[in-house]
Amino acid sequence: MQDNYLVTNNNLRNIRLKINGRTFEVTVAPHWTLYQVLKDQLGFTSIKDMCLGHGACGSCTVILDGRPVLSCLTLAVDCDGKTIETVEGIDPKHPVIETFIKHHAFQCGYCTPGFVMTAKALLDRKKNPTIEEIIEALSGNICRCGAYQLILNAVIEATERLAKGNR
Amino acid sequence: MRSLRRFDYFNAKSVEEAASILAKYRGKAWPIAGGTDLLTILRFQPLPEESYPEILVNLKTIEPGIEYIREEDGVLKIGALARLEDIAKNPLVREKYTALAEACSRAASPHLREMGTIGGNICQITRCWYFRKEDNRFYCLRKGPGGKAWALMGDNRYHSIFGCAKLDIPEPCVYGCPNDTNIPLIMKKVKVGNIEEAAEVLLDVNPIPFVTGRVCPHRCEEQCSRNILDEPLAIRAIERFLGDYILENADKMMKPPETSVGKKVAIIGAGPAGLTAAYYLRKLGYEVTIFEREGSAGGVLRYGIPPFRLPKDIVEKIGEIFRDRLGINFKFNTTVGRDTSLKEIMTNFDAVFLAIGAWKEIMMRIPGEELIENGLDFLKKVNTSSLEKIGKKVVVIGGGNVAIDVARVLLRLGAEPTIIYRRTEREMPALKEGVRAAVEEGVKFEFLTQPIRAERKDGKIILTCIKMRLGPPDETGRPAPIPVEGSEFELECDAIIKAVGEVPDLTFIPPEFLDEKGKLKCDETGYVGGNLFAGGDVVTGPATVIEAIAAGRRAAASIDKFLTSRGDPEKKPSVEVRLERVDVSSLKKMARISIPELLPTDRIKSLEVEDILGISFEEATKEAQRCLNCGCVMAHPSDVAPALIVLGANIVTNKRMIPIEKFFTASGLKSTILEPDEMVIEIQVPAPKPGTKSKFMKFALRESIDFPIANCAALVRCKDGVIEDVKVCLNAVAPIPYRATRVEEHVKGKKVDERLIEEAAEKIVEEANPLPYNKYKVSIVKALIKRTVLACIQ
Ligand SMILES: Cc1cc2nc3c(=O)[nH]c(=O)nc-3n(C[C@H](O)[C@H](O)[C@H](O)COP(=O)(O)OP(=O)(O)OC[C@H]3O[C@@H](n4cnc5c(N)ncnc54)[C@H](O)[C@@H]3O)c2cc1C
Ligand code: SF4
Ligand code: SF4
Ligand code: FES
Ligand code: FES
Repeated sequence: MQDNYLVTNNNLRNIRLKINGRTFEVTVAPHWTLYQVLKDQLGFTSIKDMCLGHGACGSCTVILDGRPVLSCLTLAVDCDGKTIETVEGIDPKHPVIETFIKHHAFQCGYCTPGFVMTAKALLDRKKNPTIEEIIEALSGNICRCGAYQLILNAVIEATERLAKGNR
Repeated sequence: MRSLRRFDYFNAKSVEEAASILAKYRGKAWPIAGGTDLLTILRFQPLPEESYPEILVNLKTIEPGIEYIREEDGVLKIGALARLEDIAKNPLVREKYTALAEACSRAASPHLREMGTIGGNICQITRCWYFRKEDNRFYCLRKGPGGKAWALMGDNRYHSIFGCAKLDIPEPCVYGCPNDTNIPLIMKKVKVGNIEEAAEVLLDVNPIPFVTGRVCPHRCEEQCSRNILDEPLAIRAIERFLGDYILENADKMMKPPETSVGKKVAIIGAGPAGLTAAYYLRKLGYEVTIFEREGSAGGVLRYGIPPFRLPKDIVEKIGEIFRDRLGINFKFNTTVGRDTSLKEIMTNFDAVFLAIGAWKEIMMRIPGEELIENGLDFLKKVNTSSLEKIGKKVVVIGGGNVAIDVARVLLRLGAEPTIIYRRTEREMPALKEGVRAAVEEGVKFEFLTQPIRAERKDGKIILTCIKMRLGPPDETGRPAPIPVEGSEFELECDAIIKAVGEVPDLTFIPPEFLDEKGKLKCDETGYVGGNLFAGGDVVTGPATVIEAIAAGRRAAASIDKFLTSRGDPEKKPSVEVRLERVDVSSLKKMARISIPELLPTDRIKSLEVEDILGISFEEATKEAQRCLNCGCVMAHPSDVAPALIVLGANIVTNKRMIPIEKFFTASGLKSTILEPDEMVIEIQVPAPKPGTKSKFMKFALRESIDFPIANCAALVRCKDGVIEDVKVCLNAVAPIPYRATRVEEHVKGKKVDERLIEEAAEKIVEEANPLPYNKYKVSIVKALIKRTVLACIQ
């Protein structure tokens, strides 16, 4: 058995994260979540925690190797060598950002980063999703202010813009 | 956000490596796949403290990865780590194994499906809506911390509609009883009037329930779930009823052993600990001899507890039964350390159990202490009718059970007792029941009072005391009494009795068995050293009868193990699901029986007449109806499980192949029958025969994210309009997935028609056992069954 695979509590582990195109080297304990490391250690404050880590709100969503995941239920040690995207890394001119602003797709804005990342993950992977597919993809995100229709309108327009190749 | 509980982490490179770590840590290592279920558990920590993993074994690093979804030789093979979203989107699965694809696409939320694996989904701890806690109340994750409720009676709208599961963890009452008495089983038998069997269950753990049924502080009742609903079950009263039945039917109930093991055990002390060890060792076939300092058996029961709480003829009977019926030898009036030595007994017997109790009164070290009598000496005189005279005004010093008993005896002898205690009523170590009785009967109390000197003056005794006040907590956790300067005062009385605590007399114990503080070296199995064991008050200091019984029983088991090297029977957690019906009528408010008791004014007229009376057969059976037979009514939440069941899947682990219907359990904290070093590797689904259709439907509060309120998977194969094969499985409605067999039977072989399906769905109502707030689930299930089956034939 190779002991270097065994990470003990006093044996912290160095991991490498590629976040928004930049590489970060961080030292983490096995029980630290990606949420903790991104937000508390590295200062990516866009990530939110509406449900306090039950995995039930989507406000902590980041894109991990292309998949939208909940950073509150992802271990940092599992992300060694992986690519992560957060709202901070999205081009302000990206259609998702522009349409969210245009449609006022929020009230308090607390859920917005989670919705934006979820929408982006969908549009990155799928060229021209149907409205049903959009609704389905966004269904794991909760907006406590109830801005759902505006959010949907924003994502539909972002989809159309991307389909037209208009960025 | 709360951080996760700490753990170590191991990235497994192969299945074998993962298995070896799991095996090495035996239950303290858990596999982790997507982590979505596991990490919420490690964040909110709803399980009993000792059940968490120390290390997680990461299965995602196994190479080659086990995330495949492929069909081979007519069998769909899905790697345990395949993500739910990938299965849901897989065209082959959607086409041929529709129920599975639909179930995967309806589980949790899109993000969780990107993260969560199929292996993790079927292995998820049954979080349902309430997690199980040791005391059988649960923290509801959905309601957040603080939402402590007991699922049966609380808001049970999300729970099982098909009864409860008995767990490996004890019911609340059993958890409360220091001797693990199987109270729910006893109540189940008493309920239907089966007194003899109930008494046998009791005798299995307690040879003298006629004693505990009278004097036990009944911590079981404190824990009883009915406390939340109305009043606790009158467990002790029923125990007394059963105990008295045993006494009356001793010929039948108390049988000598059938075998002999040809070994001799000596027991020193005939108190509850000694008697209990003697009973169970004798039952195992040992030759047992009890050495007793006094002339009669019972110890505290005979010489301490006053007769109005425990009649002495009952105690006398224990000695008779043990000697005459069980063949236990007694050597009375034999003080070990004087008449014989411990070493000698240890040489002459194969094992020795020391159970001499704690009889030495602690010294107060105040001037004039020789004028003060010891409480236990006083009680002993009372119990042997050798008390000569007592004064009129008697001061009793102390706040424990002995002080209360002394004062209550004094009242009955016509004296006027006053208890002085240095703290307040709140801190008194005496049991509340005794204090309440003493107050009712007219015992006077002086709290916050400490004696500092006693002297004789003109035939009277003057006790000088000082007032106290309460300061910050001391090492016992109670507020420390602090003298109030200048508050001295004098009490004039005829006699003083002190009961400030007792310690065991260990003067005759060889020093090698004592630790540096002079206490007995005794481990939790009761082993001291050589062939010597010990238990009861001699080890713990003054405690309770039932704790002594528990110690005696433990010691008997250890001695048996020591002498026969039989070893512990391997304790394997049961994997069988025991689903029991919940008697919903017991969930209604029902008054506790009133236990007959003499009026305080009548009580103090006699030292002998019992102040609390027994209950009748009718009362006992009526009270037992109130027992809820506490079990866990969680609902197994997996959406994937019922789909796999109708499709007849097999679970391939690193050790074996398990048919999916045998995979789930609800006995303990686990939800599957997997062993600690066992993992799901692959899920195999045989291709359905041509013409088969399967569907899955789910009802949840919020369509996405939420766990199911109920779900249903169905598989139907029709030929020429006749249903040839049909399977229907529900989940979220019972502690494990629930196969609707009656529904299946109703439609099998019949011609497809909507009315028939409707009738069949109706069948589920006959089986249901809904709780007060979840009857609505029955209607939902009915509708789900109908729609899912219909969807299969359209
Ligand atoms: C907010 C929320 C909502 C949810 N809603 C639903 C729902 O509606 N329906 C539903 O079905 N589920 C629901 N779930 C549960 C979700 O589907 C599971 O959490 C997920 O499928 C578990 O997969 P995982 O890989 O993340 O498991 P993990 O969390 O990694 O593991 C779960 C358990 O299984 C053990 N385990 C994992 N893999 C294996 C293996 N191969 N062999 C043996 N043991 C293993 C782990 O030790 C752990 O005890 C919900 C979860 C959350 C957080
Ligand atoms: S022995 Fe005492 S605590 Fe145990 S069940 Fe009987 S009354 Fe309750
Ligand atoms: S109701 Fe019955 S099973 Fe439940 S705690 Fe009380 S005595 Fe025990
Ligand atoms: S904080 Fe992660 S899902 Fe709500
Ligand atoms: S805008 Fe307030 S939570 Fe969505």
